[in-house]
Amino acid sequence: MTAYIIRRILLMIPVLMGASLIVFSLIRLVPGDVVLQQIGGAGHVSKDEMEKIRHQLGIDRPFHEQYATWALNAVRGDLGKSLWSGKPVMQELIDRTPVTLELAFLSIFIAVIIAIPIGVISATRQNTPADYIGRLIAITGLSLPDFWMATIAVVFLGLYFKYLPPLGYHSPLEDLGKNLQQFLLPAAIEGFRLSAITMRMTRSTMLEVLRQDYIRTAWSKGLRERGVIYRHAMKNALIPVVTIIGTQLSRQLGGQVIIESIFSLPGVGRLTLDSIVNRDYTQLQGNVMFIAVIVVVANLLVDISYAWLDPRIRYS
Amino acid sequence: MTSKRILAGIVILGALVLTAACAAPGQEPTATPAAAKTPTASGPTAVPSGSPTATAIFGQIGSIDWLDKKFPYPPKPVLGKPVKGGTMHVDTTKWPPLDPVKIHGIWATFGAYDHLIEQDLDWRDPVIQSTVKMRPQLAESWDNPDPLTYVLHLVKGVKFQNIPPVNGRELTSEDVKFAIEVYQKGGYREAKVSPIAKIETPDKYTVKLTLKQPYAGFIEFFGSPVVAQIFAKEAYEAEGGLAKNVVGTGPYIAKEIKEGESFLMVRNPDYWQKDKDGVQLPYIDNIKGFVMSDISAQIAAFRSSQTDLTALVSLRQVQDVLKTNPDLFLYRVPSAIWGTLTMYYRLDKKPFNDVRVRQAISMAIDRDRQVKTLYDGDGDKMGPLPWVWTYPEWPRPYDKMGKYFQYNPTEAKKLLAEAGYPNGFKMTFQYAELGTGIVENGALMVQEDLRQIGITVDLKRLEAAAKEQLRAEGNWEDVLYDTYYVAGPGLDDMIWFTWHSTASKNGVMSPDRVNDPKIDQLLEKRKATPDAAEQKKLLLQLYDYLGEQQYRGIQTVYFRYEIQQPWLKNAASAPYNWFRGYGYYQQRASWLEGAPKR
Repeated sequence: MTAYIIRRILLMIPVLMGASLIVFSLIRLVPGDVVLQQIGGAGHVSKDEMEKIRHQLGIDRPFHEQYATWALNAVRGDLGKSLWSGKPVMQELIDRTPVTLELAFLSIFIAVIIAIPIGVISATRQNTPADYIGRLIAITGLSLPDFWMATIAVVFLGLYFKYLPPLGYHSPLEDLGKNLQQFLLPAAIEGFRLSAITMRMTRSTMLEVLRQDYIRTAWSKGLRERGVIYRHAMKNALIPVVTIIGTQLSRQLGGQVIIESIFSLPGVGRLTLDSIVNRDYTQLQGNVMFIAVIVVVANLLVDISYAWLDPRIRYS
Repeated sequence: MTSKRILAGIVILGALVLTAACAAPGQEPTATPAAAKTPTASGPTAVPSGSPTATAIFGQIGSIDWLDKKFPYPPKPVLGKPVKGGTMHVDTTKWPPLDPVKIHGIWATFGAYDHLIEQDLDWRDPVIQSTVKMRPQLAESWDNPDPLTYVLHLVKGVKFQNIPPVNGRELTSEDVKFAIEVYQKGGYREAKVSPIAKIETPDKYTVKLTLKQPYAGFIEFFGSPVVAQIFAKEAYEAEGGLAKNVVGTGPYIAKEIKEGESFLMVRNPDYWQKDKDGVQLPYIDNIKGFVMSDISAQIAAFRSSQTDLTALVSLRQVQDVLKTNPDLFLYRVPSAIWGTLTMYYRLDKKPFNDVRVRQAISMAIDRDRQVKTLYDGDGDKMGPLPWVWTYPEWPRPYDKMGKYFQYNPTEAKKLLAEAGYPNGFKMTFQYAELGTGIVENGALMVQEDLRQIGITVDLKRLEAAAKEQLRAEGNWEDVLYDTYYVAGPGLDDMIWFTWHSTASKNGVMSPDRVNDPKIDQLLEKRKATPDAAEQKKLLLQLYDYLGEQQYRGIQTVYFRYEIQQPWLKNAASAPYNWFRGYGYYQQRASWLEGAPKR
């Protein structure tokens, strides 16, 4: 197991290098840069002056030079300074991460408490009204995009209840009530969307497992339904579900651009979107590396969790 | 059974949400107009007695009866007695860097600084609606002993905010000299201080500016809100520079700035300026700002009273918000020219290098239809120069604009045939949508208009930054369909930087690189002419010449709508541009009366 983990960690290096190279080059291929974005709208700055600013920021240097400098600093933990705000990229990420973390875990929590019970009920009551309703919910969650649900929620609450979650980020340590008011609605929307896939996966794997011989044996031994479902069926059925949840969690931790923007939550997603719009190369690179590390580590943790869930799985 | 009930509840809630989403907005609000109060000017801006009234200048604008009744244009100067205290809540869509040398600030930093001279931007003042008025700020007066010299006399006893690293010391002429010299070194405001050749400080409260060449409109140019916020040397030289050390002499102190998220400004207890009754400004204790990039969230925040004002971009949005907030106060602010839908041609290419083709295109555009369709009738047709300095009358005297602004497809076809294109030609519009739909819909309407005279238009939509790149480099295919940019709210911001050939070095203000010696000559002559009547004559000559040349396909513009809560008083907006924060009084002289606890 240890050798496997070390091998996976070593494999992270080329993955992260590839990701950094792709994002480094792609954002530079897109027209426009941070100087134009800063002064473009109302600028009367001469071209020479704009070139001077580009030189100061170092974005006029050849691509390979810029990448080498950035990569060397990155391995030392220095992701540079934001071209837009001048603040250290790492600091911006540290400031924004708590928001994204809270939103991600809350969304996944809500998704799980919706998806698993409904998925199990759907499977154990196959082709009954309960199953139909469960499947309808799953289809609804899959069909309705989160940006639509979020916009509708904001418009609906504002229009009919003159309500919007409190503005400005309130840390749970400062004011838990306001914090929950801010996070519950976006987390519920995200959670509902995420629950759809998990629910469908839970249902189908449960159906598969419930048809296995060992489950029939458990029934024939006279075990109660609860024992058969929860002790015997669910543990095996949940392995693919855990994979799905792990993938969803890693994506959520990368930031929810749309939800964070609509609910004015200052998380990593909104920071990433702003970085793209502002052509803030350094901040974007830092954010993408942050997201890439999270995805790779989350995948590793999911793989490791298989061994815990299913003792038959062994890594060598 | 319980789970079934929960599921049923979710389905019902979903159905409710869907129903709400499908509820069609657009009906006219039926709320009765707010009762008019007796005008009592207060705060730093008093309406001068004997001034011509705005209604006399403009008459009634727009064609929307209910709107004109409920929110007459221009708004009445209803001010009342100022009340001190409270916290004003505002939204902002974007978070630019806070360093004023790099870029103009937003609300946050704007309140922290003062200027030497400022443009009076209170839209309620009828004089200001038709003329540009300059007023003293840190410079209480100024002399112009010869065409090249301006002597500014500073207000004595003005102190910087009492926070590190400046710690409340007095502002002197050396600070002004230092700040202008920093701006001259480069950055966002370099061009605005470029006419100055020398800065001297004969004493602690006097600044002598020597210009490079005579410039009759210098004070107006220099007093533009985008010029020279005065900062202290200590703040500039401290670690992090001005981006970190937001310290000026302004009415608000930056207490908490969470970049990209929110800011909190608190009243400067030592602020030097008082209103006409001797009450120290500002009236409001705190200003809290929140970054909200989503328009739905901004509107919902206003609806739920979490913000005190916000900007809207269409009459339909206004109607929609009026349903839930019938007591809101609305500013309908026409743009001087900023934001006008404009076709920038590749003037170096055929067929756009032929004036007849440009004239034909202009005559094929139905501007009235644009106003009716794109802006629901509450928009404005626009000539080649800003109206406030040229033809402030309303309705706009389009007969004076010249025949090429009139809709006449028959004449347009004739002109095209004369130019050698009897069957028209094909061309491409490149454009980026700004999130309002107006640019895209405008392009579609022009596409339809031009089809009538045989011109086929292909539309190519770009991402906003990609469009900026094209604008800066001037290398679009045929036509860049965009909005009109200006460098600020002063006349030269709007004409010098957009039409003089030397401005083309930049590219952003004059993307099509118009280079016509006659335009340059008229602009230069006007700049050097001290006589106001002569200046106006030259400006109208330029107006006529540009109308004939049709270098740019200038079309129509929408009104800017700013909605304010009924408890926010005297929050005047800027008349010549759309950026919130440029109307100084919003921060310095507005007050809250009966605002809810938030």
